Amino acid sequence: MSETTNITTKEKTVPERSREIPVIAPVVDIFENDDEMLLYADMPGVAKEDITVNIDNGELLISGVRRLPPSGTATREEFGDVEYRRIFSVHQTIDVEKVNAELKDGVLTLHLPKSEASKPRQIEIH
Amino acid sequence: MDLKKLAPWNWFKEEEKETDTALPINRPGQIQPRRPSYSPVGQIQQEMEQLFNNFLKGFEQRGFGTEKFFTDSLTDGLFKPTLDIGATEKEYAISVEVPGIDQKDITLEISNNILTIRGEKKQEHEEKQKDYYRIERSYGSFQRILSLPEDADQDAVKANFKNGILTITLPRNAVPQSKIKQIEIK
Repeated sequence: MSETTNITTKEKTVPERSREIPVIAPVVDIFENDDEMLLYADMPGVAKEDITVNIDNGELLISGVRRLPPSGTATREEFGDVEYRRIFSVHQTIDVEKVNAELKDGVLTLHLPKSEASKPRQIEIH
Repeated sequence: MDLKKLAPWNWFKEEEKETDTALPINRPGQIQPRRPSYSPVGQIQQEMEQLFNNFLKGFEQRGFGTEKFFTDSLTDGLFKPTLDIGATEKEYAISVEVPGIDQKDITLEISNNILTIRGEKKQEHEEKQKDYYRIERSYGSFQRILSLPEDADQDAVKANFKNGILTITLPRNAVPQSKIKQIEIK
């Protein structure tokens, strides 16, 4: 779990919080093929507007804050309000402009397409 | 005074039973049936097993982060999604973390005051997912078993699925209030 904590300068990009909530790294699956890198991150209970995805200087930051509605007296709590945050290094071959993200059923899916120049090409011999 | 009312309801009565049968637990201090060890290697192996079992015991308490992930993948192929149970005067609310699971792949059953939440998380097999770097998310079947308290209205149960969290609400039946007797001072 690579969760970088010394990112004080980036604190602004995170949605405002009223009190300290625990920060945990979401679990991810990462795949790669010839066209793109595909990243799935489990962020259950996070609303779309509470998710931040930033790519800067070869660093990809995903962050999402979960605020659960109060459910009365908790008799058992195995999960609570939390900030999911994780940072990845992004290879230069990724076309930052074309990255797209979607959120469905608590899973954030990131498509990171590779730039045309970096795709494997077959060179014909004449 | 009815002491039974003061004790918190154990929602996991049934579930604890299940895990007891599924995982052989070595309790320290208990005498283990020893297999005859003919070689020092055999003895080391036995000690290693003991050590490993004790190690697993330490992970029974679940929480956030890695240890949760660890137990999820261990209990006989079924992973246990984390859940919260809350109670108000009017209802019980149970929320279960099930990211990436299709609504139709979740089954909820109530029988004999036991609520079973089960389902399967399928791994998408797509051509485009060629090589992988990391697979940290759990796949496969999952199950949680909850024993419902007496005052939960099992006929009026409602379930709702949003953003990867399944919320089940059970209204509470009115519990007969204890009568307050006022004593007049003469």
